[in-house]
Amino acid sequence: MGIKKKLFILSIIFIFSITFLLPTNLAFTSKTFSDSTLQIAQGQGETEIFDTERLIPYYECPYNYVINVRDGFTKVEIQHYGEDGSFHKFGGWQAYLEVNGTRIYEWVSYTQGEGSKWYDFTDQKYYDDHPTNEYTDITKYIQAGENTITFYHYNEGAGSGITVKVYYGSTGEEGTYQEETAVEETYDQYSEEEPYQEEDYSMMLQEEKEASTRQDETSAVGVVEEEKLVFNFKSMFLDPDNPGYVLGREIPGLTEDNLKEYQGTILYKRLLGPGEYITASSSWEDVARLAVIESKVHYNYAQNLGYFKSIYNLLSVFYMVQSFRESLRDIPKQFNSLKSINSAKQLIKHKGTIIDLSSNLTGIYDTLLGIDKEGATSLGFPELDSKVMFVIGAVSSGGWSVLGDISKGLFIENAQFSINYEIKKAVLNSSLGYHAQMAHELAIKENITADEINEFFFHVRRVVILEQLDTMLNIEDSVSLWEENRDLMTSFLNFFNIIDAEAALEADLQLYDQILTNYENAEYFLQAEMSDLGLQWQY
Amino acid sequence: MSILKENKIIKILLLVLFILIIISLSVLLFSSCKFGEREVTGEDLGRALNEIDEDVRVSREKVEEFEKLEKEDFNIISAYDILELSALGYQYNMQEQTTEDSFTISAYFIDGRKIMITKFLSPGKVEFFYQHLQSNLYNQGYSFDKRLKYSELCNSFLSQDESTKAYLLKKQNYLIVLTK
Repeated sequence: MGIKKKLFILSIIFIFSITFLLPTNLAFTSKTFSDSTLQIAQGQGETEIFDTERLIPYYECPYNYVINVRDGFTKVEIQHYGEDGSFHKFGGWQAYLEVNGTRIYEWVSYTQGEGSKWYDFTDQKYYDDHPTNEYTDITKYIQAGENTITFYHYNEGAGSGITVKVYYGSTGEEGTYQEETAVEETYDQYSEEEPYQEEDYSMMLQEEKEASTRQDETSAVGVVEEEKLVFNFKSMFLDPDNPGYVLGREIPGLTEDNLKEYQGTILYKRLLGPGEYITASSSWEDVARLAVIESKVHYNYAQNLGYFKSIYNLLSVFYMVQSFRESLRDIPKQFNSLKSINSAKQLIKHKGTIIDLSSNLTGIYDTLLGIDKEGATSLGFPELDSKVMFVIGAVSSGGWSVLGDISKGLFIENAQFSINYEIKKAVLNSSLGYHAQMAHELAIKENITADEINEFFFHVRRVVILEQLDTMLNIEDSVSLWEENRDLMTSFLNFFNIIDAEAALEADLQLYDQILTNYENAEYFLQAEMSDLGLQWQY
Repeated sequence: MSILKENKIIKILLLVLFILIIISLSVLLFSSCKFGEREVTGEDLGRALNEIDEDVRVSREKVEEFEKLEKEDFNIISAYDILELSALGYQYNMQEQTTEDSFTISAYFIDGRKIMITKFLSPGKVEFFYQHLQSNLYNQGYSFDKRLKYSELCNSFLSQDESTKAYLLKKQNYLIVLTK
């Protein structure tokens, strides 16, 4: 073979290698390279450990960590670790963790002096910050092959790392992992003879037995009271004479087919405006449909009124050289995806998009506030907006957020001009529609299990929260009108012959008060109903 | 060229190609690792978000009052000049108002038209005031009509009884409202 020929063949091989490698690399998502692949778990005899090998900051959340588990695993444990390297069962503020879409735990509340309270879905128990066993057994949620662990938290600290231990073959108590942790943490308290691990293990067994007994009891309640349950929640939340009626509004003749016809018409205003706000609801489906319409109205408004054009101007002028996460570039895709949804049925397939969009918008607001709080506020990005968008994201994901933090008082006292009103209303209604549709699909079931009843209340509770937040956003929008630029705004409204705007505001506030009171009542009834069924309220 | 020499050259070339492949692999792997942590500037992000806005349909409707304003640089003319240009030679009554960060003149024409020209002293404020005013107009019974071709941003609104049409124009530090 001639030298030119050989060179030609070698060059072809080189070019082919580059051509093959380049698109392959670009096609992979960031996480494949940044975390998972480079941190391939190293087998340690009978165990394999997967570790993010770094702390996950809040602005990367929800964070998906993909692990590849080999066939034949017998036990899988998950733990968090913080900046000091110590291991914990839970991690983060307002956090949750999911394995392949199933909720494992979530943050519930925080009490000064006591710390955080957590709910573990795997054993259906509440925990304080540092339970005896600082890990969670997730074996039954793991499958051989790829598994996605989703972690969410929201605080500005260093973040939290995740470590997963997979056992193959025997999981024996002699497993070094827990032993090492125990020795490390309790070395001074336990002598070698003291059966720390055994004691620990028997406690675990006892807890498991108790949890199992409780589970059986719950199931038994569900079976025995099934008929009564179906009757009860339908009467409670679908009866127009009941406080639950405020959860929805009647839209005569509205179907998914004619949904589009309503878009952008005066009818919207009549249906959605404060004066026509409360009418009877005939079903959860109506609540969901209306939320879909309302979200579309606000997505369209955000777009048509030039919200994104304004954001463009602000970012390109005031924050031109500042850094933002690249993933925020996905916002247009997420926005268009949610905006194009025409039915509640379609909406429930887009839960992830609702979470992603709210998370990304929170990311923008937080970044701006982090750069210059005062400047960002003066440009229409008040701190409250970041909090509101976070709550919407947390509630969309099913997580628990304390709405008490976002009270009516806060909206009235700290009402500030916000550029984000339309987009907040849009995403909020997407989330509301999702939960209402989920509630509807459970409510229409002929036979409903105890778990499904639990799930039904889970969604209803979030509908109530979002409706309350929606009302408060309206309060904020009305009040902020008078809190800042009062003279200028009065001139504008006079210009439009809206001369009684201040009186109208008073009337609106009274109405909002009534709506909020109704929601509070709805919550009490919801609580009572759940208590009757033997279900726990705080979940 | 002797076979020996030819073999030597091939060996060297092979080595060079091998090194090149290794370097390429390393660079690609490194850049991929960094990919997840990449950041964009405010300008880049703004441009990406502006994509959403570019999907809005823009009407070719002509608004006489805004025609002459298109070619003017508002940084070198005053609010009074803007009013004169948009008055189309009609007579009007005028009011002025000054606040902490704005200056406004309102003109009322004899044919019922009204125009309000506000200059904001802070360039960012006009953006969110525009947005907030629009949301409030919606709450006060005005519904969005269409986007118009004028300047940076121009939207029209219709009153509930459809008797009044309002045009909101944003250009540089100015917000101009025209009702007919």
